[in-house]
Amino acid sequence: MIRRSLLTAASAVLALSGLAACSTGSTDSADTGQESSSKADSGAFPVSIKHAYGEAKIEKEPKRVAVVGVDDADMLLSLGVVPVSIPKVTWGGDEDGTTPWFDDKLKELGADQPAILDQTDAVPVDEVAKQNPDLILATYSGITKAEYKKLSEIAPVVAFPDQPWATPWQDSLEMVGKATGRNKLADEVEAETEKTIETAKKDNPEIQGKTFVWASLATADLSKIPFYTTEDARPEFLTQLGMKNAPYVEANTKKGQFFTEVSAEKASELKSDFFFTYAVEDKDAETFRKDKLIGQIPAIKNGHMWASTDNVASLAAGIPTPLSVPYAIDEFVPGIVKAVEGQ
Amino acid sequence: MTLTVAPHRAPAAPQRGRGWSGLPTAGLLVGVVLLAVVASLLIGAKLVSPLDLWRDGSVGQGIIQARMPRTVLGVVVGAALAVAGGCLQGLTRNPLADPGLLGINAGATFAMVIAVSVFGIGSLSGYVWFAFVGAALAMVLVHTVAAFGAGGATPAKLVLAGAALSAGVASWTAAVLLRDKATFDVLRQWQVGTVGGRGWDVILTALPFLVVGAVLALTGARTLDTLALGDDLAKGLGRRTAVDRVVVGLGIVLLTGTATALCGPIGFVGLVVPHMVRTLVGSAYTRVLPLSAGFGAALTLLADVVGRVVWAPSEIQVGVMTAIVGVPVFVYFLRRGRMAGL
Repeated sequence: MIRRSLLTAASAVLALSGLAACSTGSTDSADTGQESSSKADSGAFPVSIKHAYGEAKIEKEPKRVAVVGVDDADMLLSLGVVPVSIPKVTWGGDEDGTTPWFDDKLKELGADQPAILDQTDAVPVDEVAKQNPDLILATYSGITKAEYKKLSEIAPVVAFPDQPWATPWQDSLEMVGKATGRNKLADEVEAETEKTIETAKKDNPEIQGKTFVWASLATADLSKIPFYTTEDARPEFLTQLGMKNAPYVEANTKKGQFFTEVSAEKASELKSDFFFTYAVEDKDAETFRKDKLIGQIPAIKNGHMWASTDNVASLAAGIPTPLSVPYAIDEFVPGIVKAVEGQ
Repeated sequence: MTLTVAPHRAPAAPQRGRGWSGLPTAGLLVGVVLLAVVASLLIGAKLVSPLDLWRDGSVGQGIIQARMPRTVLGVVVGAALAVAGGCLQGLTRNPLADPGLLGINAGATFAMVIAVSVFGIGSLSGYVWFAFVGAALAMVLVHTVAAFGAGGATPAKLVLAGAALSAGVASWTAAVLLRDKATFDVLRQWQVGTVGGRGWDVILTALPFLVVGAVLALTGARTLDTLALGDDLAKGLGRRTAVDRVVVGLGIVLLTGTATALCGPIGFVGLVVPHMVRTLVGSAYTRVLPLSAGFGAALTLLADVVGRVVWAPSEIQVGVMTAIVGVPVFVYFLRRGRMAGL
């Protein structure tokens, strides 16, 4: 018995030490928020926004918005509001940890770069608190209940509406618009983005109605085929462009799972017109093609695979926002067209 | 070594170390390994007819052809880990020694992370070499540190140095991964331990290392038996214990370094298989090591086959399955008799 209680105590200590997450690099928080280039709708406040963990009650127009979610910074900027802090983009970003489309919009607004917080390990609650925000956005994120509770003590938090990592960009935009009192502008931005996608649809007739698989093959383990399900935002962008999820992907999507994997022995069943996968090196494509099993995936066999090493473009398409969609259409869609046409 | 002829029926719960003489046990093991090989070629996420092997261009042919390297890898890596584990237990005279103990896994993992993060190598055939060198460096470093002070590299000091190095290197690995998500993604795939998805080219390149390692380790069996008497007695018998240790150590590095580089860290096999074998044939390394090879191969391969079907259409990697499949087997052996000492 004594030994058992000792063990329990030891594991508790271990668990606690794991909680002591470290945070890195913050810049000094400015005293004042940056000037917005847009105005809140009259009568927009007070407002309350429902989400998975409860309700965010926002009394008056927020002046210092901290971003914890992944696409919220883009949403905010597209509404002319500059955040005080944003999460570092560790995959598909540049040296500083931001994306080109974010930086371009920032320049256009004539604003300074907000504080960039590293969230690789966990949400750096202390760093967020230092920014002294009056609103925290996490509409497209995977924040835990515990993180939500801590953040709520700093300022109202708008978490994801239903499932973590499964908020369509339109919903994110609408929530951010509501939280900042820019509902009308959010509608306009959404319409404009939809129009951009419509135009891209017209400009690329060759991909209409074509089925696809969005996979994440790894040369480190070719015995399985990991892919994103119909519930994920990535495939959603391609369906918006007029493509269709492969029947096999639809059949193997379970509720609440945005990602799944099947054995590479099932390769021949993954029928689609187009196969997208991330890759680390250019020569990975050859590795996939040559593999006895992976090479049996019909789209790979027929020369319709795109193994992209351009993480920036993949990120733009993978997490579509009003700012990243134009970039994705310029940099990502041509790759699809090429693969669909089999070049 | 005298061999008794076994009766033509399954022996009824023989006593530890007796009744299971070497030859029938070895024969039985060869049979089990062959069964595992056949199962590994025929069973998987997708059912295929064995006849497909002769149907050129068929899906089934591709699948069976892909299961071949996977099967070979399961056999050689399982055998390598079990033999290396047995050697390590003898070398350190620590019943809990396994390839993870001397910093070998930690060294391989760190070197691989450096390869991906710093040198931008993204494919298995590229970073396999780094992992191997990392494993070797870790072992050399551990031995050097352990050799300081009085008495040279005693078993206790080896284990301590290994544990310290593992902890230190693991934190370096974590530091790199926290700054570099892309590397983390690659490592995630490798760290589980899998025998699937490796081509012949990688396996054939690694084979010579495994063969040399196996020769060094298996010829070291007598050495280990002498070392088991304790260093003073071994020296009295004219053994040069330091040289002996280095030779066996080199065998261990070649075996575990290569196995880890090829498949990622696979646990349990190296730790437990030698103990199971000891419950059958006692603790003489001349018998423990060769039989461990067969046992390790069979266990790893069967674990992989089970991992292919329990969660279809997905697969569970062998690194996870060895423990799940291994534990009941281990418990069975434990119940048969007391663990043989080292």
